[in-house]
Amino acid sequence: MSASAQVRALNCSSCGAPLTVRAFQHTLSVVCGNCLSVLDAKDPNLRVLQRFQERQRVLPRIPMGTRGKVRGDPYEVVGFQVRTITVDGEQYSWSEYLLFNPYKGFRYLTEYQGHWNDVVTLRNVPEVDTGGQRPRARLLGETYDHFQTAEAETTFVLGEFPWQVRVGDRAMVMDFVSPPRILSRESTGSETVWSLGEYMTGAQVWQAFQLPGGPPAAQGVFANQPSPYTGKVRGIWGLWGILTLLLVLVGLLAYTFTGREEVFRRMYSFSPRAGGEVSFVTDVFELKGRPSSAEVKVSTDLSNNWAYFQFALINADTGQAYDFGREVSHYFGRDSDGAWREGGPSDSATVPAVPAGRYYLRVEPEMDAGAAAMRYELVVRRDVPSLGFLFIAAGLLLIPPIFTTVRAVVFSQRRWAESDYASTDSDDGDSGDDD
Amino acid sequence: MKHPLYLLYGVMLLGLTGLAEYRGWSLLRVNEVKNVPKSVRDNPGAYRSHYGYIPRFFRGK
Amino acid sequence: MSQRAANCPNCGAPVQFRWSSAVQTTCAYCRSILVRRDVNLERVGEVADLPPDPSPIQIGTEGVYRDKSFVLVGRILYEYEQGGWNEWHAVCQDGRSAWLSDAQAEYAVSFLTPHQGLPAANQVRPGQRMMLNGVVYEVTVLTRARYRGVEGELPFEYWDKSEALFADLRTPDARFATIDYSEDPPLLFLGEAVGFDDLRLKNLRQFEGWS
Repeated sequence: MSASAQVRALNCSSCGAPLTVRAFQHTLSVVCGNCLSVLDAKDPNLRVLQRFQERQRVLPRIPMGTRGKVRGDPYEVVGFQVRTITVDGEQYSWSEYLLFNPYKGFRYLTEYQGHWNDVVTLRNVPEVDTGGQRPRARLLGETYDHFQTAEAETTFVLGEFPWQVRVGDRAMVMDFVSPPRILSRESTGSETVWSLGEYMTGAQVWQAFQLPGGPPAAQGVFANQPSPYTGKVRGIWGLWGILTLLLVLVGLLAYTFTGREEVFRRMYSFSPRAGGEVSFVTDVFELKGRPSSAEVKVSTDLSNNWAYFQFALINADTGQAYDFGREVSHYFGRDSDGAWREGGPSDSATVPAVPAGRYYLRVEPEMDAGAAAMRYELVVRRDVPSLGFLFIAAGLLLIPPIFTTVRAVVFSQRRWAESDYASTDSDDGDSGDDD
Repeated sequence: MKHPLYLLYGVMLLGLTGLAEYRGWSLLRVNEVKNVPKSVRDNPGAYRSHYGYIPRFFRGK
Repeated sequence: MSQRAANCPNCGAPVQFRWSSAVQTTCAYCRSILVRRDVNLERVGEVADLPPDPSPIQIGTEGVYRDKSFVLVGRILYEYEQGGWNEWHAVCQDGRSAWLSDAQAEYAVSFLTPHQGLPAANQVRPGQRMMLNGVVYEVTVLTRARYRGVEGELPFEYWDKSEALFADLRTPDARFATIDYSEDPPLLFLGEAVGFDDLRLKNLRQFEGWS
């Protein structure tokens, strides 16, 4: 039985500073924290693989040696590297933290602009399908859409690695996403490695590693960041459908159970040129039943003219009056585009919540002083449904699902704005569930 | 229950709409006046309307 | 053949057999390779220093495979161009021998299976398919490996071997096979890939700072 494997304490062959090797026999190269030289961990003399170079020191957000729980197992941060890609002349860098558990092996924690991913290397090789609009990869029954292909360069290293790392190492990286997961294919000249990542929030990482303070805020939407709207868009439109159907039912009930009884009808004529008092009162009519609407409709024979009617619906017994007015204008003709018409010969007004009783109308018509005489008919109907409220309710019902859909689409656009497909139409055909 | 707020909002809208139809509400701007005297039936011209919108182009008084 | 304890003919240290059918073992103290011949132990060679190994598995590790417990009693170390791996000799409850292959945290359990008509070493190619015990396997990797060392109890005599070819074969449902060309006719091992957690390993190697 072998003795307990030991953590090795060594001295840097370049600058003499003390360093520790924590990943036991896995470690092939270790970086001196003091002079940043990369040393061969398998060489008893720790020969230098890459000399110290003047480069800006990056401070890892999770210090080397920190332990945390990932997927139920303890892991220790043993390595750190910064990798950079160049897209359209702009440089984008992300961090990778190498996590180690002697029984479980290695995994990675990557971080970019406050977005984190828990990544493991894969044994099985996913199938890649390059036919169709965009390449796709398939693994374990899940389809991943191509997001980005770029060459990544290692620009900073710290800690230890189970391979010979060097600043300047390059690999071609192809990312495929199926939120919350991401499949990455890294190829160098000699080998291709696939890895699978799952999105983590900064809060989850801080919790796992019990780090002080708070995580850096996430900026923008990351490639495999799960959408908070997944499923919500379908769900809310489904509920909208049910509610709208119920609204139609309410409308049908309103139209079925309102009386719409005609209680008054009479023809009049008005001549603005004749002098004297233009206002008059109608005979008394009865409005029955519960307090409900009373519709006053005026139908005229106006021809390229207007008329204004001042109405008062007055209760003959209580003296309660409802004052309102209605303008009727009707203009028509022909021009180069054909026949046109503005307005109409009739209009109606619905007086709300009128209690039962005996009522009459006081009417005061008005027209242009020199206009021709007008003939018109007044019709009063009791208990008339309001189409207006139904339309208003239908419109208000639409607002939340439209709002949610817009937010889902905006989220998806923000995600794909960072991809290789940003300038083209970003709405992917099979993203029925946002993404 | 994925959208409890929307369901509540929708049910309230339906309820209000049903109530509006039942109570005969309308969107018409009406001014209510009380105690109109019975003498208006004999002298309709004496009644002064309290309704706001009147296109008084060339009216005197 | 059931003698459990003996003494190393080279250094006299006590040699314990966990497994009654072991043919070969190593002396933990002087690293002599000892082969059991009748009642005596014969020293046939010496094992060079074994390379430091990151594997969490050690001799004495116990585990469970398909509801049968096993204990690891020996191992063979192989080295190839890109690194090395261990073949741990596992002895099951029922006395059967099995092999736990341990390479870069990828594990597979396999059993020696007699089979006729295996392709010769110069005929096998990656991507080639063949029917083994009624199941179609595909050759995934061909490895030229060197024997690097032995440790513990083995069911046959095995030391100082020269380079040999190994063919790994897999199926889409995680079945695993190896053809070992170090002997003629070649040996076939059939089994499956397993996850570390599925083996429920106990008595693993201790790592400083990890409980």
